[in-house]
Amino acid sequence: MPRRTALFERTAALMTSVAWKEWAGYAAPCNFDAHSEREYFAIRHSAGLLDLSPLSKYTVTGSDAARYLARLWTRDITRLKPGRVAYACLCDGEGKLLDDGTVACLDPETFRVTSSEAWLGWFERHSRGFTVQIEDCTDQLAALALQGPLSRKILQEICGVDLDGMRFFAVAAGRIAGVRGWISRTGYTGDLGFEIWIAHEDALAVYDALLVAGKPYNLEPIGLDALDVARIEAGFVMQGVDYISAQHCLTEARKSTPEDAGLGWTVNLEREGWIGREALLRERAEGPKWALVGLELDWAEIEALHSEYGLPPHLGPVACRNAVPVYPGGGGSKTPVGQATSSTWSPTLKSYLMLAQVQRKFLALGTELQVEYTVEFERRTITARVVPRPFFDPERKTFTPSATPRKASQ
Amino acid sequence: MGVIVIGGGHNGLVAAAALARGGQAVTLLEGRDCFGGVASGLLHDTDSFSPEIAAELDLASRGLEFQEPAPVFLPSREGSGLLLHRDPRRAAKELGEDAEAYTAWRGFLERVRPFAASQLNQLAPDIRTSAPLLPLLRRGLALRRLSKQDIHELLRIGPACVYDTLSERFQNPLLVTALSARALSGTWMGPRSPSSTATLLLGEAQSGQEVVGGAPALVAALVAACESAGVVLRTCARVQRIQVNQGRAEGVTLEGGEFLSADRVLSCVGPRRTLLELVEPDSLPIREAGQMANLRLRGTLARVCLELSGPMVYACRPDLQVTRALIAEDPLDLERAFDSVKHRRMPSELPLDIRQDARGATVLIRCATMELKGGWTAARRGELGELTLASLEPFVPTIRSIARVTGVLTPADIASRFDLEGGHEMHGEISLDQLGPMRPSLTLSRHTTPIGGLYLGSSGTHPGGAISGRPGWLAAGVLGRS
Repeated sequence: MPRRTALFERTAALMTSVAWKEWAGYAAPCNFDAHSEREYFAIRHSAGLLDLSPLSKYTVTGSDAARYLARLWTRDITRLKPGRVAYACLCDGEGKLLDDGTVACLDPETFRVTSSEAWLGWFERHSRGFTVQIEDCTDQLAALALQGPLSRKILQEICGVDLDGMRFFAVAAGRIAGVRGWISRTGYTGDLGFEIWIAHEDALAVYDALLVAGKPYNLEPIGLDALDVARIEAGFVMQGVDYISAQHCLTEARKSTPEDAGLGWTVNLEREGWIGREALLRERAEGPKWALVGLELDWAEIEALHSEYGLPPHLGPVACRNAVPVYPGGGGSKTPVGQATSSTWSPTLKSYLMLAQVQRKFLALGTELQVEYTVEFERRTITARVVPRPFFDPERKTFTPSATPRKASQ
Repeated sequence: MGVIVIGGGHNGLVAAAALARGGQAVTLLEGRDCFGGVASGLLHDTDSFSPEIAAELDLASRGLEFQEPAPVFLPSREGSGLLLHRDPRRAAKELGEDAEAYTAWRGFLERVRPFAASQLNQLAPDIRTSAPLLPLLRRGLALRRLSKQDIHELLRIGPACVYDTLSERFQNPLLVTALSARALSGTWMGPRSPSSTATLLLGEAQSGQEVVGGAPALVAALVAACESAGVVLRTCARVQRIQVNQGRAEGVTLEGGEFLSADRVLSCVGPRRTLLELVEPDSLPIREAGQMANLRLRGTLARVCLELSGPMVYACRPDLQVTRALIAEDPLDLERAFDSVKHRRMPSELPLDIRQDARGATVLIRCATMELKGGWTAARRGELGELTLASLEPFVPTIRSIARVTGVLTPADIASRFDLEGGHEMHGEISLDQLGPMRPSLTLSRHTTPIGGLYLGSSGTHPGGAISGRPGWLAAGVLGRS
């Protein structure tokens, strides 16, 4: 049975649906109404508020904390300055992805780590020899995601931190609705947004204060369905969907390196002493095998295919996580060259998007591929083109008003 | 530059002498104030020291001599005990009805010895790659030279426990006890533990003549060999860090801050301490870090010194004066002693391994667990001395009037005084999964490490063993060829 987060009683009361799903052992709303459309548009046009508490969260302290984290994560955490957050990968000794997450430097000897899955055992196993304390604070620390173009205005109404001057991937301690906590300018929507970290017992008060402050701005509580569409538009991969954690893979072939999953940019191979480096140096020497690409499906073909069956084009109500095979363009070959792992209709871009892992010779922008598409139980293919990822990348995502006032254009 | 050898125990001394004789500039660093490690005041049996290494290092010219090992006396409450000679002809009179079986057993051991010795005197086989099939085949041939019956017997008894193996051959429980006790040193086993026969066979294959003058004479000869070969010998030089740069060892930092640079470093302290404590944790791949974290090295050894004001007179044989004795009447006494190890408690009676001369006796207790519940306090230390006297009393009734307990080393004392992690005298338990290509682990058994220029040569690496010198010798060979 999934557990309840600190916000369960409030989110349950706000839901008109009974659409719960399990997220890392906790019950999390999929959507608050029969459909997630209103929530999705809140993310892109006003702001959405999500209970992020099921995220695994750790506090790492001690004089060796930075060195220790730099050993476990692909980024050089020793160079992470206080008040900054790094997105990074966790690899096993063979350089295969275990998880991805963030490491926030709260002060030179205190770090906050988040990950999709629980890793306390892994963290402790590899802490030998380092002066660090690792505390799993998943239950003690609630987290809220406030995401959307108006999120800054809403949050500023109830917090003293100067959000106009807060840069992308910054973190700051402060009071939110009178409660001590941290705010980071991070998120999983590819939009302007913040994540708020507060004690479990304060979570309801802060959630309520945000709902009140956000009412004039059309703030909506959101669930995971709307988030899933937004994160695909943002081109973000999801552990367990777009790549499988090496510890859950039954075969070597299913495991992915950071490069395979489009996360090669988080890896610095020149740096020594981190877990997975030797294997990834070998990968670089031999040449990586896979790449993550963004695909856009040919809408005219989708329409034509449906009309063959006398149907109007049909769109799934939510993003789809069922992987489908990807074939080379032209339709000649029946040997898959990859798989599309996440797909969604993008209401903002008005196009059908997919994230796919393909052999590297197919990664160039504009490459045409064929992806499996099922209509009336028959498996057909549709042409898909490799397009830039993120699919949706608004300037407001990274724009900081008071840091660069001259560039203000929105 | 040159080679730094860390740890001046018998393996470190052997390795340093071998490397220096091979033309290397060698500095040997010992943390304590004397050389010899466990050979300087802890272990006393020298009959497993390799005569081949003694010859290669020309230790005879440094005064080293070998002799037939002294017989072991096992007193009994009833009857006249057993004085056991290794040589079956000399043992026959004492053994009576077991004489024939003992001769057969020694014969079997002698036939098996070349095969076992072939495993011990060369590098552990590399079983991770297919390349070295030839050496494996050669080892197979060494086995093939045995007769069909011997091969069958080896395969039959190898996985068995020593209690079964020996009890089906011998009537006299004292004989079974004497042979079992030998097999169990350095293990975490009792006579009824599976595979203890394999460790018995390995131990027998390593043992032969003993050094005249015992461990002190051996250490003196090795130090002299090092000196004449030009090794720079330093005591009270405790290494704090092996410095690694770009994946290569480039020297060591001593406690106190002194840095010594080196092309290569051979560590003859335990593999776990070397890799998990002396090397920065981010220099070691997690595979090897995990292997070392899982290495089992639970010490079971304690030592008690007795000062004697008169001869030790065994009631069952008052006329007999011996230098070696074993106090345990039945193999199941050893099993009960192991029970106390297993359950982390003080043993109620102690099997004792005694070396004595006119002035005193050194008593080794092999059933004192490092992991004792409640820890080794001063009171427990006193208890161990008292238990030693109490265990001797039924056999030497005058013991309390002639003996004074002068030095008790609990496993915790041994761990700190001899720098032994876990209090284990071999830096890793002897067991089938920690031997040969798995000692100390699958990827570290051939003396190299994932860190360039860093080698392992303590008894925690292949082939292990007590005072044998073999791991240091093999490691020096690997380093010398690199």
